[in-house]
Formats: sequence, C-alpha cells, structure tokens
Amino acid sequence: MITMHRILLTSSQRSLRSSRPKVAATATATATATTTPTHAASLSTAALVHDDNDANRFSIRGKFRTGRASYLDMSSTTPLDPRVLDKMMPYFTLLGCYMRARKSSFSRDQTVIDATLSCSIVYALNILSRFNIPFAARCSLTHAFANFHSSRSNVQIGSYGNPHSRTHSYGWESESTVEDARAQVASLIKASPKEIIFTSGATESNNLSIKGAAHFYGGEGKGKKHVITTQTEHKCVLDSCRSLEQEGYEVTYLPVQSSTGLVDMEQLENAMREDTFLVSIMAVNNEIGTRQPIEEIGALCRKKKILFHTDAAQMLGKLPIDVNAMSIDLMSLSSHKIYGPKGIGALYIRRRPRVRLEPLFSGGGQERGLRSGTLPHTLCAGFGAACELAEKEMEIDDAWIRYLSDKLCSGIEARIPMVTRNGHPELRYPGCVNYSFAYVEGESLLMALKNVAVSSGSACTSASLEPSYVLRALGVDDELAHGSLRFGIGRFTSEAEVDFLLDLLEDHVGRLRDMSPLWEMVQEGIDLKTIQWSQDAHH
Amino acid sequence: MSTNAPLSLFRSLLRQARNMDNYNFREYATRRVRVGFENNRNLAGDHLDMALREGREQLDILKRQVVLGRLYPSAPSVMESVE
Repeated sequence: MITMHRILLTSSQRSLRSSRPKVAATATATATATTTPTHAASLSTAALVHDDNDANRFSIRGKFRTGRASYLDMSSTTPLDPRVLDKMMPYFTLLGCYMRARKSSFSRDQTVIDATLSCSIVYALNILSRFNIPFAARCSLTHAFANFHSSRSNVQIGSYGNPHSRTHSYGWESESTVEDARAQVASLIKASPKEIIFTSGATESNNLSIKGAAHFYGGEGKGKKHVITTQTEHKCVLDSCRSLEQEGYEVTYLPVQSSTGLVDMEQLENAMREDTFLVSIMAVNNEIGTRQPIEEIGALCRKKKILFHTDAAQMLGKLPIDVNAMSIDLMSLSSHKIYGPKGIGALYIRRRPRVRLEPLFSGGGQERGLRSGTLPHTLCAGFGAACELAEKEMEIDDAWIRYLSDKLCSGIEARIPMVTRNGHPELRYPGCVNYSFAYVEGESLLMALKNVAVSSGSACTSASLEPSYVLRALGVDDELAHGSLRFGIGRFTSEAEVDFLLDLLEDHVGRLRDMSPLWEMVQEGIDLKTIQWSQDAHH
Repeated sequence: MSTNAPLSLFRSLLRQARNMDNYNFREYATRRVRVGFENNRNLAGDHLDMALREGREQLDILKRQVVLGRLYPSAPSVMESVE
C-alpha cells in the first residue's frame, strides 16, 4: 500500500504553478464565450493574467441563455395537459354558465339559454377581436365554441353546484360530473367506480389507508399490530408509520437491494408475522424509477391474508395497472403526476373482499363515510379527463419516453466518464432517470444547470444538506449521493431539450471536474482510499 | 379532384399546432398530430369516419387552447432563445 503525503492545493494556487499554457486558453475563451466588456478589459492588464485565466476557464458568467428553464423534472409534477384544461374550463368560466341545456328536459329554458348563448359568444368575440385575430379565424372559433357547447350536452347551466346537494339540478349536475370522473379513473386501473374515493392527493390517500387500516384492524381486542414497509417509501408513508409507532404499533422497515432498489421477496416473507395486517410498498419509486414486483407481492399478501397497499402515484397512466391481477387492496393515486390538476387524488379500496378503514377526520359522511367534505367537481373532472387521456395515449407516450430516456442514458454514459445510474436497469419506469456523477458536487452542478429544471438527489429535502434517504438505502455513499441528479422525462419533453441537457451536462461536469484536484489524482491513477493525508500523520 | 378530408384535417391541425404559445405544447402537438396520422394511415370505412370525427373534435380543442394560450401567454422557453 502506497502511503503518500500530499497537500491539497486550491485551484488558484495550482494555476499559479502552471500559468504558461493558459495564455492560449484565454485567447480561445475570449473568442468563444459571450464575455462582457468588463471581462475583456480585465484580461488586457498583464499583471492579472494568471488569476483571470482560471476565472475565465471556469467561469459560468454570461454563459446562460435567456428564457424560462427547460422543464425536466416530471417526477415531481407535470404540466396541465391542454386537453385536460379544455375539459375543466366549463366549470370555471362564465361561458360555462350558459351551456345549452339537455334537450330532453328543461326545454322551456331553451330559448332563454340560446339567447344568452349567442350573447356570450358575441361577448367572447369582442374580447378576441382585440387580439387581432382575422375574420376567418374568428368564424372558425365561433364554430369551435358552438361545437363545444353541443358536444358537452351533459354540462348544464351554472355548473358550480355542490355535488352533495340532493335537492336541485345544480347539485345533480355536479354529482354526475363527479361520477363520470370516478368511472374514468376506475377504468384506468380496471376497478369498479364504487371502489374509488376522491381525496386531496396521494399524501392524504397514503395517510388514510395506513392510519385508517391501523385504527380499524388494530383496534381494541383485534390484536393486529404489525406493519411492513420499505426504506425507500415516500415521506408521507414513512411518517405515517412513524406516527403509528408512537401509538404503539410495530413497523418493520425492509431494506432494499443495493443499487437496484428492489424489495427482496424472501425478506418480505420472513418479516410477515401473525399480527401483521398491512404491507405498504410503492409501485414505482419517485427518485430512482425502480418498479417493484407488485404482482408477486400482491399474491404473497393474498396468500397470507394481509392487506396490500401500494402508492401508485408514479405508475398511474404510465405503466398498465390491473388491481385484480396484482391483488391490490389499497392504492393511492395522484392527479398532478399524470398531467392533471394539482389538489386532487384518489384512493382505491377493494370491495371484494371488503377492506375496512377508519376515516381520518369527521364530517358529513361523504365518499362512503371515509372522506367527508365537499368534492371539488372541477378538479375531479380534470383528474378523470387526465386518466381517460392517459389510457388513450399510454402506448404513444411510452414509445416516446422510452426513446428519449434511452437517448439520455446512452448519451450520458458515452460522453461523461465515471457516472452511475441508480435503480434497476430493466424493471423501471423509463421516464425517471437518476445518475450519480463522481467527483462532482451536486449543488454546484445544479447552479450551473440553470437553464434546465432538474432535481438533485436530495429531492424532498431540497432545503437541507442531507443526502437523499432513498439513495442512502441503496447503499450509495454520501458524497456520491450529493453528486446525484434526477431527470424526469414526460409527454411534453422535446428531443431538443434532451440534446440541450446532454450538452450542458458534458460541459459543466467536465468543467467542475477540471477544477477538482481529486479528479486530477484519479486521472493519474491514484486510488484515493490509499492516500495517507499529511494531517492524519500527526495522530 | 375530390377534397381529401384527411389531408385537409391534417393541414388544419398542423396549422393550429404551430400557433400554440407554449414551446412544449407546440412541439408536442406537432409531433402528436404526425404520429396520430401515421398510426391511422391504413384506416377505411367506419374506422376512418370515427377517426376523422375524433380528429375534428381535437381540432376544436386545439383552436380553443390556442386562444387561451394567447389570452394567458407563458414566458418564452430557453429553447426558443438563440444563443
């Protein structure tokens, strides 16, 4: 073993030693970089040449493009699809209040409605005329609006009613909107609409299923006290389990296979006890994209008569789900991950065999008594439309996302040395890509990637310096976890954005590594772990 | 010369897609229209009629969303700025 005494030099000190070759580099730097006049002025003074050589070579000032960053963080949220917005608009707009009524009933209101309809179209056209839309286009727009009205014949007057009002048409119409949306969500997961309840999001669904099942099945005299989950679950699941522990339940946090993140089926089976009532394992991980073997886990839980809950927020609409083939008892769904509106989600609760839950909070008993509160039928409509769209577009989206993901992964691995992909190579959702860049500090890389919106390894805790617990559970050491980035590719990602990202990554990872003395040593073939630092020699 | 309904629908859809305000939606719409017509290239009869009807609905949706995009424009993307 080689013991070497090395003194780490800062980058400016290193530059002073080898200042001769830098003159050529400065010339190229001024020629290619979009430098400001101040840079050129400072370069002309010979005394400051060697300091500014490195400042220019490593500087990122003036190298950014203007404009909104290219969005590559689809795992955290997705933009609202225009087609989903179109389905939600009638519930938000003034035009929606004057929709043509259903022909079978309310016929006496027909003339009034038609009059107000034409008034509202004229009103809209007046607004549009200020935008210099040519006459022909305006005609086709009127046609578009009129067609919209006739096709949406089930959207009634003033769709702002409370879906739970039973006594008038405002309520009935809103209720029918909610029920249509419920059916759309159910059809995407091959469930029955009676098994879906709407919640405020996947976090609430996770809380409701874990705490609700615990309080029902672990109540007085029922004796079930054990929950099994994994270490890579979403924060809300881990936190719900932690709060259950404080109530007296026991929770087993299963470790995952290192570097792939898959759950070990043998370990899961061994962890199951007599008093286990719930297993909660997420379908697709939001940080590394690994897809767990849901079918096997479901079959095992069914055999042992244990409830199986899965957080399918990242899997819904992207990979096919069948609650019966996968033996899922409880499933959390989220709308804003599938190009729907934020603020709505759903919980699938199996009816045969019946799964019982205790509600989280009390109220009027809506949603089968499990989730009281007025439903936002506008958001429900958006969620339903997003699910219907996802069902139709799944193949096309899958092909496109797979293509971009392969391009990104092969590009990174070909152009940048010493990178590791976190997650399973095959059993994954291709849209979620997580790479660790060795000898690069994550925060500085993120600052350099200002023109691209990506997230670092420590996603949920982006304010703190703690490395991501998911990567730590995978066995990635802390410094590598700090140098990790997560890229999210989605329906609306263009090929040019992926190319742009690859160029930026190559530039900035190279630049940051050039600045790093550790990288220089690695290039020379020195194994960093065998170095005896001079400061350690004193001890 | 008979009017080629699929072709005129294709052209109208592409024209509307080009007018979308947001970079990502614009790119997606253009690509999706092409992919859609490519996938449905060999349809005939009832399937063709249904596909054309769906296409016309999508054209209306696209027109409305183009207007909305102009009413509430988004900031230009970094991909649209020339270096």
